Amino acid sequence: MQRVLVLTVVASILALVSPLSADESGKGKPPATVPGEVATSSTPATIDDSELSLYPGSLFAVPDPPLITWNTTAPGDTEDLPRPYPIAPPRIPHAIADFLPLTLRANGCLDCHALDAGADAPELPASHRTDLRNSPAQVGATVAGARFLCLACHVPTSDAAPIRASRLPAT
Amino acid sequence: MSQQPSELPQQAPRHYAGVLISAEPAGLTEVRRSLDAIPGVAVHHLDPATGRCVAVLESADRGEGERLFLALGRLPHVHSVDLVYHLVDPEVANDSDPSADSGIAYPEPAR
Amino acid sequence: MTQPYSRREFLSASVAAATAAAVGLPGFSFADLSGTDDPMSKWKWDKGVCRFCGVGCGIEIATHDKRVVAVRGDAASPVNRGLLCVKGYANAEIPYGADRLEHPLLRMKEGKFDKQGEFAPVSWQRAFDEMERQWRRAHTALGPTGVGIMGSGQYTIQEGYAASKLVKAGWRSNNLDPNARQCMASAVAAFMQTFGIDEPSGCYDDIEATDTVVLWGANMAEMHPMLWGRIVDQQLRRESYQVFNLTTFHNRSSEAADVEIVFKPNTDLAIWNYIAREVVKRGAIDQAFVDKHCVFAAGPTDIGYGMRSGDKFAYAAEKDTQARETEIVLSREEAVLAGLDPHIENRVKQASAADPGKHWLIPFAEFRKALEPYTLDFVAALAQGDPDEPPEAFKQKLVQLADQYADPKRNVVSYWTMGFNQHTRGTWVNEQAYMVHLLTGKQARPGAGAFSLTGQPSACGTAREVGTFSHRLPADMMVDNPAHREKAEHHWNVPAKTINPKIGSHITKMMRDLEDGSLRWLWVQVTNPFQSTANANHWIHAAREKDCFIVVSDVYPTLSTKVADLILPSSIIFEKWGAYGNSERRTQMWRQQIDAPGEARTDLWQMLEFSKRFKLGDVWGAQKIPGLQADGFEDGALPDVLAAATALGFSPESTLYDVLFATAANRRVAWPDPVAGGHANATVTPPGAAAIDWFPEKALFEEYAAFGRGEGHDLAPFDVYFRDDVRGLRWPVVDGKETPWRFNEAYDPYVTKGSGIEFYGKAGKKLPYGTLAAAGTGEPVAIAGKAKIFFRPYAAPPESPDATWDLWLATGRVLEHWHSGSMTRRVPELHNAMPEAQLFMHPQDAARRGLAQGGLAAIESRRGRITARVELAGRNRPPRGTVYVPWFDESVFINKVTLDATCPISKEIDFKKCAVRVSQA
Repeated sequence: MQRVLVLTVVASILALVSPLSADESGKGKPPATVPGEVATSSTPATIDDSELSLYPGSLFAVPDPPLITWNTTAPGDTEDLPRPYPIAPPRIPHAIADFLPLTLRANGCLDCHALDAGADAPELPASHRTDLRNSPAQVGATVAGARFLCLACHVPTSDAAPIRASRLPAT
Repeated sequence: MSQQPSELPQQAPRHYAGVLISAEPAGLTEVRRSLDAIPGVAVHHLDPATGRCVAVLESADRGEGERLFLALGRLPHVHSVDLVYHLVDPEVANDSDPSADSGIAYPEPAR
Repeated sequence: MTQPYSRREFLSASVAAATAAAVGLPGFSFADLSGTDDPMSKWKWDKGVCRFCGVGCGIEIATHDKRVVAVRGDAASPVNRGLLCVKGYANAEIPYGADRLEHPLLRMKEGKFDKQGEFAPVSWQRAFDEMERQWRRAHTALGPTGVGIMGSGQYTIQEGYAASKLVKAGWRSNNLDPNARQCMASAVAAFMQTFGIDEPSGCYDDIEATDTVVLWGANMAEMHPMLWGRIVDQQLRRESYQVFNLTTFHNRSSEAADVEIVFKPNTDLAIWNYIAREVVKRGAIDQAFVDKHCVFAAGPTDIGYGMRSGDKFAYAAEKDTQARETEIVLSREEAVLAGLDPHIENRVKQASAADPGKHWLIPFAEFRKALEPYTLDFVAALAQGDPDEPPEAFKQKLVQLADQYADPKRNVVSYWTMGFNQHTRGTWVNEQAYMVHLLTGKQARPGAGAFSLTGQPSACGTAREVGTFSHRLPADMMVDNPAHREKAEHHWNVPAKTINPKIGSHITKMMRDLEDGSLRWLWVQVTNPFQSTANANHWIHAAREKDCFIVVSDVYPTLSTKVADLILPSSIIFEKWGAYGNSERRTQMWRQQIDAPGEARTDLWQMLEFSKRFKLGDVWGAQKIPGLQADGFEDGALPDVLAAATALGFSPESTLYDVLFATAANRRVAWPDPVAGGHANATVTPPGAAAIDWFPEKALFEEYAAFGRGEGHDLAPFDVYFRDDVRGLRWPVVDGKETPWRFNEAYDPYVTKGSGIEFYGKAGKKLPYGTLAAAGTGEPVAIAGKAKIFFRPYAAPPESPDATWDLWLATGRVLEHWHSGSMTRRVPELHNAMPEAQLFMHPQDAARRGLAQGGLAAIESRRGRITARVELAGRNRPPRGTVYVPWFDESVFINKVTLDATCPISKEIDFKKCAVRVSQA
C-alpha cells in the first residue's frame, strides 16, 4: 500500500531566520528600528492620548466593533501561512467550525491529521506522538495525551488585519 | 522556467526534509555509518540513549526526496523514519512538479 | 543565480534544529551543529519562564544578534515537559510590537506640564522632576495616604519587594496594592483564615495522582492550557479518571469533562453545603482526621458587598444596587435558609460590613445543624443554571458530584480560579472547598486537596509571598500586627513605628479615592487597571478630571496610558533579570537576554532612581494618617522617627535610596557576578545613565528571602535557581530539598515529627467559641496545628437580573490573549486568531431581541453602555438568561458595564455577575 503523505509546511522557515538570509540575499532587510539601536530621529512630536494604544480614539467613546469573518477556506484548498519562527506552531489555514467541538471522543482534527488518517493533510509529526513526560524516548503511533487538544497551540485564522505593525522581520 | 534537476547534478538542493530516525540504540553507530554513506543525507544529531537521530535529506526534487526517505526506512536497526520539518528553498528554481510548492509526497516509510 | 555553499549548510542546519526542537530531543544543543559559518549554531539558549499565566511553564529562549529569535517549551521543566500553548510561543514576539514605548512622555502645553496637554517626549530627568514635584504636592496636602502605587502579579519578585519597601518603609503609606487583588485575594483570605498561612498545600503532581478533578469556576482549557493538557492526558489514559466542570456557562473545559454542571451565579455556595451535608449524612467524615487536625468555625453573614457605603458618587441608576451595601431584603431562598417566613419582606442591616473577616469557633453540632436545610431538592431548585435542562438530570449530577467527595476510596482535587475568587462571597466559597476536603480528609495528601490556581505568573511569588498588598508585609505578615511591623522594621533596619499600622487602600478603593479626592498621586506599574477595574466610567473620568497626577510605567501604550499624565517606558521580561513564583509555590528565575529599545528602563531601575529623590527628612517626620487608631500611636498620626533614624546611623539628609536599597549589605552583592555568565543587567548599567557596581536583583532577592527562611517560606539561595539542573523549586526549600506537599510529614520538614499532618500556620489560631449566630464571650482557645472547617451560608448577589436589567453578565479571559492584550494583541497571529471580544449569548435570547450571529448589540447596565458583535455558536455557550463578554479588548470596554462589588473580606471584585440588558445597537 502506498500512503501519500503531503506536508504543507514552513516555507517561512527562511523568513524565520531572516536576519541572516536577508544579509545573504540582500533582500527583505529588517526595519531599521531594532531594539538597542533606536534612532533618535524617530522621536515623535506631541501625541494626543487618543492616538495611543490599540484603539485609536477617545476612551470615552463607544466604538462599534467591525464584523470579523473567520477563515472559510475548505481543508485542502489552503496555502502555507507564515510562522514567526521555525518552531512556532503552525496556524490552522482552513475553516474549523465543522470540526468543533474537540472532545475526548471526537477530535475532528485527528480525523484528517492522525497518522494513517488517509486524508490529504499534514500528519501528526513525531513530536506530537512523543510523550515527553513519561516516555520521551519513544515515538508512538497516536497523539500524545497532553497534546490532544489541538487548539491550545494551533489557532484559527480570520480576516482581521494587525492592529499595530510588528517590527519582527518575519511578518 | 522549469529545470530538470536530474540533468543538472550540480544544482543546489531545493528541498530540505528534517527527519527523526528512531533506531535500536545498540545499532545506532551502524545506522550513522550507513547514513553518512548516502549522498544527500546529513546527520545532525544523535541521541545514543534513546537511539534517535535527526537528519536532513537534501534533494533537488520531490522524487529524489522520496527515494531517500524510503531508503532510510529500510536500513538495518531502523524502527521508523518520521518527517518533522520540510523546507522548500524559494531561491532555487522550481522543479518540474507543480505541486512542489506545497510540499513533498513521500511513500510510506517502513515501520 | 548564485547558491553559496554556506546558504545550503545554513538551511540544512536550520531544518535540523527545527526538527530536533520539535521532538524535544534531550540534551540537544545548537552548539553541536557542525559548520561554523552557520548562524543557527550561534543561537544562544537560556532557560526562563513564560511571561503569561500562573501555570509557570518553563521555556528556553534563543537569542541571536541582540534579538530573541525563538522560544520553546523546556523539556526538563516538570511543569510543562517541553510543551507550550500558543501564548507561550508568543514570548519570542512580545518585545517587538511597532509601538513600544521608548521615551518618557509627559502631558505638556507650552513647555510645561499641563493635565490637558498632549504627550511630548521628555528626558528621564524631566520626567522624574515632574513626578517628584507632583508627589510632594499630594503628600503636602494629604500626607502619606495621598500617594499610592498600583502594582502587579506580573511584577518580578524583586520589583514587588522594592515597591513594598519603598511604599511601606519609605513613604509610610500602605497604598500599594496589586492587580492580583482582582485575581486571588479571596484565595489568600481563605488560606489565612483556614490554615493560618497562605498558599496551596498541594502541587501540580496532584493531577497525575488523583482520581477525580473538579473544576469550580476554572476554565482551565483556556486559562491554564498546559495543566489542562496534563488532565486530558490522564483522561485518555485512565477509564476511572473523572473530570467535573462546574460553571455558569458551557465552555471549552466542558468538552473534555465527564460531567458538566451549569449552575446559577452564586449558588456554588449552596452546592458545597449540599455536598457537606451528604458527607455528614452518609457518615463519610474522616473522623480521625477531623478530630486530630480540625476545628469548626463560623462568622457574621451581614457583611455587605464591598461597595461604597454612601451614594455620593453613584450615578442615579446605580443607587438601588448601592443601597444594598447598608441594608438588603433577603431573597426567598436566603429567608428559608435563615428560618424566616419567605412570604414577607425580611430586611437585614449589613451591620458587620466593617469587620467582615471576624470569626469564631463553633461545636460540630452547630455545624451539622447549619447544613440541614441544604437538601438535594432545595439546592437543585436553587442552583440549576440552565433552564432547559431537565431538573432530574441536574439533580442526578449533583448526587454524582457528592459521590466523588464522599467516596473514601477516591482521591479528589478541586481546582478553581476566577469563578470562585471573583465572587462577592469569594472568601467563603474558597473556605467551603476546604470544608469538604477537610471533612473527608482529602487535603495535604498526594492527589487530594483543594487547590487555588492563580491567574498571573507571579501572583503567588510576588503579590502574595512578597506582600505587595495594602495590608501585607513580606512573608505573610500584616501591617496591622504590631509584632509583624516590629519584625519587618528589624529586617529593614528602620526605626520602630516607621511602618504605618493602618491598612492602605486596596486597588478598587484607590480608584474610589481618586474619585473622592483622597488620592492625588498614583504610579501604575506592570498593569492596566483603568481597563481591568469594574465600573470603569467612574475611574477614567476621575483620572482625567480630578486634581490628580497619574504615572503609568509600561512596555506599550495601554488604555491606562491614555488617562496618564506621565508615561514611563519599561523593559519587557527578557530585557531584565527577574524571578516569578507560580501557583504551586515554584520559584523560577531568568537572566536578561536582550537590551530594551530606546530609553526604556527596568521597573526596578525606575523605583531605585525615584527613591533618590526623597530624603528621610521628607518622609520620616510626623505624618497625619486620617482614621489611624492603633496601640502605641497617637490617633491619626505617625510619629517623627528621625531621631531614631539618626541613632541607626542615618541623617535627615540620607536618601531613601541609601537607606532602603543601596545598603551596605546590598552593595556587597557585587556586579559583575559569575552567575550572569556574560548576560547584561540593564538595572546596573542602563544605557545613557549612571552605572552602579552592585546587583540589585540578587541583593533584594536575598534580603527578601531572609524574611521567610526558618518561617515556612524558605527560598533557596539566588544562584541555585540558575543551576543547569534546576527548573525552579517549590518552597519551602530546606536543606536543598523542595516541598511538593505542605502540612504533610512525609514531604514537609516544618511538620512536627510523628504528627503525620500538621496545619502549622500561625495566624488566627486563638479564638473563642460561639454559636452560628454570634461569637461567645468565653476565653479564646488555642488551636495550634489545626485547620478550620467553616460553615458559610448561601448568599444572593447584590445585583440580580430583574424586569429592566434582565440578563446575567459574566466576563473573563480567552486563551489567545493575556489579560488586557497589551502584549498579545500586538502579536499578529494571536490578534488574527482572536481579533475582538464578542458577546456570547444563547440563540433564543438573541432571537427575542432581534439579534443574529454577527449582529451589533448594545450591552447596558446601570453603569454604562458598550457595543459588541453577537456570537451564538462560539467556544462559550451561555444558558438562556446569561451572556458572556471577554475583557481583553479595549474597543469592547466591558468594564464600563460591570459592577465594582467585592468580597467584603478579600476586597476582590466580582466580575462574574451583574445585571445587564442587551438590545440591537
